[in-house]
Amino acid sequence: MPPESPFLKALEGANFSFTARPEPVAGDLRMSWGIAVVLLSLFHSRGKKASFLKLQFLAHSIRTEDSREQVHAVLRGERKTSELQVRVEPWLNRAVAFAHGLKYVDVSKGKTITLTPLGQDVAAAIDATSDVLHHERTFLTNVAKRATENIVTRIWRMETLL
Amino acid sequence: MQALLYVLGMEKMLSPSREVPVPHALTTFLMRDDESELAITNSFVELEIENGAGTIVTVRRPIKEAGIDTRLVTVWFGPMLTEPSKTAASRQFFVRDPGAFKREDGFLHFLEAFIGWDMPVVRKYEGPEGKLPLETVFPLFWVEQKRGWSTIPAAIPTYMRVRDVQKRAVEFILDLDVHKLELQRQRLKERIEDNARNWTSVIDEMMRIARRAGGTLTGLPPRPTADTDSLERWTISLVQNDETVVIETLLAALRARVAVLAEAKVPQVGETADALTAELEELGKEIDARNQKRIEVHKARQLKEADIASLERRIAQLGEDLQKNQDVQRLQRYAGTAGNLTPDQCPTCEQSLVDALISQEVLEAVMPIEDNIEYVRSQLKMFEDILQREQAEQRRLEDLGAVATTEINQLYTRVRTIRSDLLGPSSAPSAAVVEERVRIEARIRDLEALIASLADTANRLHTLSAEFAELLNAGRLIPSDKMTEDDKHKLDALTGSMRELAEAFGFTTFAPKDLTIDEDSYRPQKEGYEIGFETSASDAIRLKWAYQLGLLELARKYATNHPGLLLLDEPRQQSSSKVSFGQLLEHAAKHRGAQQQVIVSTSEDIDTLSPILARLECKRIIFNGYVLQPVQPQTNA
Repeated sequence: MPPESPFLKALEGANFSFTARPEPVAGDLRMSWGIAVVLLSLFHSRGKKASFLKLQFLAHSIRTEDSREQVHAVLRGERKTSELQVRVEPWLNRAVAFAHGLKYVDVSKGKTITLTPLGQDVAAAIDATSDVLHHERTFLTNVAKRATENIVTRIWRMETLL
Repeated sequence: MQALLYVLGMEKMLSPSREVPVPHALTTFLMRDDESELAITNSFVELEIENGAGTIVTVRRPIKEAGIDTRLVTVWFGPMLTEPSKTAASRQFFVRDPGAFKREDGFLHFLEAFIGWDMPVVRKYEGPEGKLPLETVFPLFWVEQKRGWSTIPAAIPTYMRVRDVQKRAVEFILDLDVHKLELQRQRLKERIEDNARNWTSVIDEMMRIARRAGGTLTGLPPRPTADTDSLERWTISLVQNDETVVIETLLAALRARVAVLAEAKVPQVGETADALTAELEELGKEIDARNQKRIEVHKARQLKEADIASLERRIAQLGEDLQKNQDVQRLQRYAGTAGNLTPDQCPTCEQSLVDALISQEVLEAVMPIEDNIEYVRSQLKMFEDILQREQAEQRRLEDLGAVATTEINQLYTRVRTIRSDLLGPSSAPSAAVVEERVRIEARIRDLEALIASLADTANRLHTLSAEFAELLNAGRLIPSDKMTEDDKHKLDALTGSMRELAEAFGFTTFAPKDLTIDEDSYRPQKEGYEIGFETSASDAIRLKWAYQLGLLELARKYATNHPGLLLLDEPRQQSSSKVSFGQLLEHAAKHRGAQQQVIVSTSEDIDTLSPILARLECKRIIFNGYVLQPVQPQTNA
């Protein structure tokens, strides 16, 4: 803004007061999005169950177009596992905790998470609603079954896949 | 009665299936009056019809005939049933297959022309516009026994992908101008949009031409206008020595300079050596300054590029976030049907929760999802606006860079000419002076060509502007009311007839004078509520009689497309009382002799019918026993 701007002049010497407003939250930090992604991830995994490690891997890679494409490239063998940086998402643990509280999942030995029959119903209903989580669903149908616990562990340890 | 529909190729009015819609008595076995069965070996339907112009044709369609396809319809151009001995020309048509309505050899195409209709073009749900199918109009005067009585005004098939098919059918039968007006408005809108698109593309083209020549174009209206004066006010400005100059000013200066150079005689190198040396030095400085400028522009462009890339990244991220937020909204909305995904209290400890998967202590209050979506949208909009501005700035910098490069090149050319002058013999004519003149003349030619080419393109704007003015005029001519006066009269008359008839038929659910016809759907309504079968079933039937007879009555007073025929198959549905059935027949009989025909078929008890029929002037055909009888083998007497 140029120094002679009338707008700037008007601001000089003015009194300001601030009012607190509700905070915006990123879409992927909303409860329903997180819980829905956890349910769908389990729904598309073999045996409707997965380890925390796998859920973290899926939850991290599902978030953006780039990260989704990276995972595809690694599974296709076009990229090395070391190029994939998997981060631990704190929201995922909370989503699992809420899903557990809502009786959608069982957590056995603090490691393996399994869909309960109620959770399966909810997940199936979300999966059948074609206008929500479109990209996420496409990603999960392709990746969730192929990314076995074994492969996820190797990616996590940056070992070669083939 | 179904056989009549069948012979006219109207089976699609009943259902989209490809079955022959006639009873088993015509396809498999026939019950004789003594209840014995007889297998069908051969069956067909023949029908003689006469149109308003008095032309009579006889139509024949096979049902079960060895070796003959049921899609084949034969038409004799004469009354072959009333005068079997006659001979007449015949022609074969096809039905049921695609094209039966569009193609010359299609029977429905023939039928349309025979009735004297010209079906309107209507919009479909997908694909191009098409004619309104006959099957959607027939139910308004042909009430078939099984499904025909289920809806008011008529059981119009909806599977033919015609938009607002019920409305279109009624509008056609009533010959209302509404649809024509609507089509006209729609076409006009499309043409105006087209005009605007062409306009923008011409302006874009002119901008491109101007930019290629290092100039900017201003003063042209960005949207179509009928004001032709405003089309003359465009100017091109060019950057000259860091200043923006209007092309005309530049041309004038250049022409003046050429005139001066042309007047003066070409000096010898020896005479101008000092001046040339001084100019050379000056040129060196100028080139340095220009180079400096070019480097600055280049740096600024690199910064802009980085800005634009980061803006684009930001926009992509916002786009993803918006998508996620919208998903959240849908997931929340649908919570409750399958399961709750956004608990507002912790399911374990019952503490209240805010809708976020981050530590609950961090947040005071979370924006509701609707506001959040709006918030992301407004951010998106802001960044998109910034991006546009930055891209425009980027283009301006590119132009500046290009201008600087050309200017530097010209300066170097000048340096080379002066140097060769200075190295040459001092008695030679100064090439530097000649070069300047040639260069300026070439520049003048370029600028003139630019103006001419822009003026050429601008001429197309005049054509578009004239077209736009014409479209605006056409828009003013279309009445702003949805219906024309004539349409309103027709609808009022139909409402009047319907009320009277409903009263006569003993409609009791509410006072018949409260009945109106909705101007949008053309369905009967009361105080804005549509009336269907939620009234008593027998009253609904009475209302349907009233509506359809009303359509027929209207055709006597107004020009409509009603064929003047009403066919009611088993109208005594839902045991509507004998009184009202008698009334129906009486009112139906009134249409006799007015070039109209009402055909009623009923299996009513003859004792009930006889006293009613005795009062009426009508043609009665009474079948004692089954209607369908085997053909007696011909005996050679």
